[in-house]
Amino acid sequence: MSDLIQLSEDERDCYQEITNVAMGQAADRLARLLGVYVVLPIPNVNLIEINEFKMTLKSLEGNSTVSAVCQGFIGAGIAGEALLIFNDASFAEIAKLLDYPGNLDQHEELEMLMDVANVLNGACIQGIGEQLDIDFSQSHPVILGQHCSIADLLEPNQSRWQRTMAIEINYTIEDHNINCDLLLLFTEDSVVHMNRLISFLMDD
Amino acid sequence: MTTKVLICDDSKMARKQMARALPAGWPVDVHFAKDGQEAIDLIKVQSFEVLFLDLTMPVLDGYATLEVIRQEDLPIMVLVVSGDIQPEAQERVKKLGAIDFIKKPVDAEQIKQVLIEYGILRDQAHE
Amino acid sequence: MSEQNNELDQSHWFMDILQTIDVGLVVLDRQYTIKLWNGFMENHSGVRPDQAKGQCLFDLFAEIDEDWFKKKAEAVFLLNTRAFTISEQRPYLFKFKNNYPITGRAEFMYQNATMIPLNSIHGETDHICLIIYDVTTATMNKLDQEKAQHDKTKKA
Repeated sequence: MSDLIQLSEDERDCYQEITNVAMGQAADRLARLLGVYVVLPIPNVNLIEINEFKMTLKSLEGNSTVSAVCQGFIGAGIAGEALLIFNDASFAEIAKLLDYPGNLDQHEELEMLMDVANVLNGACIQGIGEQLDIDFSQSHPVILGQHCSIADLLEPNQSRWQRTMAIEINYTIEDHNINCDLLLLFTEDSVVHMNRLISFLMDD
Repeated sequence: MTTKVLICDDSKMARKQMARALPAGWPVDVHFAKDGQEAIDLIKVQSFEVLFLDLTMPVLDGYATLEVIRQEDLPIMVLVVSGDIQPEAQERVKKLGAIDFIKKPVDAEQIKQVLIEYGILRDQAHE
Repeated sequence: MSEQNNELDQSHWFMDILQTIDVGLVVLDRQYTIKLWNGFMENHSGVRPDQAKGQCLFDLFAEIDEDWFKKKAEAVFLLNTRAFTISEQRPYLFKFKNNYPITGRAEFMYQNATMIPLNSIHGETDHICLIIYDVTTATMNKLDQEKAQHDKTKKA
């Protein structure tokens, strides 16, 4: 295994600023789709250990009040997954804004989850790509826990990585009870690659 | 004559990008602030002509900073520079007294045009 | 000159690839009129390109839920962003037969779909490309797994 990846303060700042611009573009699209104002947070850029990630997954598994979709992206030696975690309490409000009729069953909720994931994941991934001059391919989204058992992911010795970079964005919508978390996870080797790419942006 | 410019952004990279995007040959004295509160504190002790202000920041964000500038009637022209490109964000900052909105990533040509439009930068005399 | 030939060759190759590739490709304009219809679509639907082109998608394929489809597609036109749909939402968009008519167990082809915006030279999104993937095998495997899981819990 290679050495654990590191992030300098300047690198973290750079990723934060790149994300800031990308999530602004994503918020603008969501705002236009739903006809609302999206409150933009300061994104969190962190190195996370496999154990922390497993804890996040575990909390999702035991939690019947959230839904999550996961979408892979890849391009120019950089790969990762976007994980959109949705608070189920938000569905009723989203349904009103998206004009979904009446009683919400699981199927309608999936439709809405996909609608929001398409906009947020797509815009964020493409937005980050634009700034790094990469045209990312996106895989089909999967509902978390369906393509893989979360329990399997939690197995010890199953992981191919120890520590990686995670960008976390918490979107809230003004005047509506809507809340979702977008987690962008990059593979370890991608971070090494990206650090090289952003060094050009940080140059004096 | 040198123009005193203040760039306020929580990101070091964004501050650098902004400073680099200022028109070449424009005689400026550039200062930096990491959040709205730092900017307000600086504006109160020395006068600046132009403030480039980010919106999403810790401590005091761009909206709150605009409010303070308006309430205390601080004499400075504010150009908001932000990644939040929702039309609503642009409307809000203009209502709060910002003279214009520049979207990130910043573009040197656009900044030059805005500065000329508001008479901050005179169309290069040596042209 | 050889470079020019090369380009001609390449565009010829692209046409062959589009025609032969094992995914469905359909280009639609703002009114959902079919503008491009590749070999996959022709072979699975039995509708030839000359029959498909110029027709409204919903007139030709009554199985597509127009409201549902438009909701997804309008977001692509409006926001210039890709949209993905998965077979868990709807098993299929086009009711095609299973690709394994002899050994396959599925009654029809399960499909994932992607809609991507296509921009004119003026930068407007005035067309979209609909891409259809056959996900029957993966879906059947998943359904088998779920059934096994279900039987297990029922026994216990």
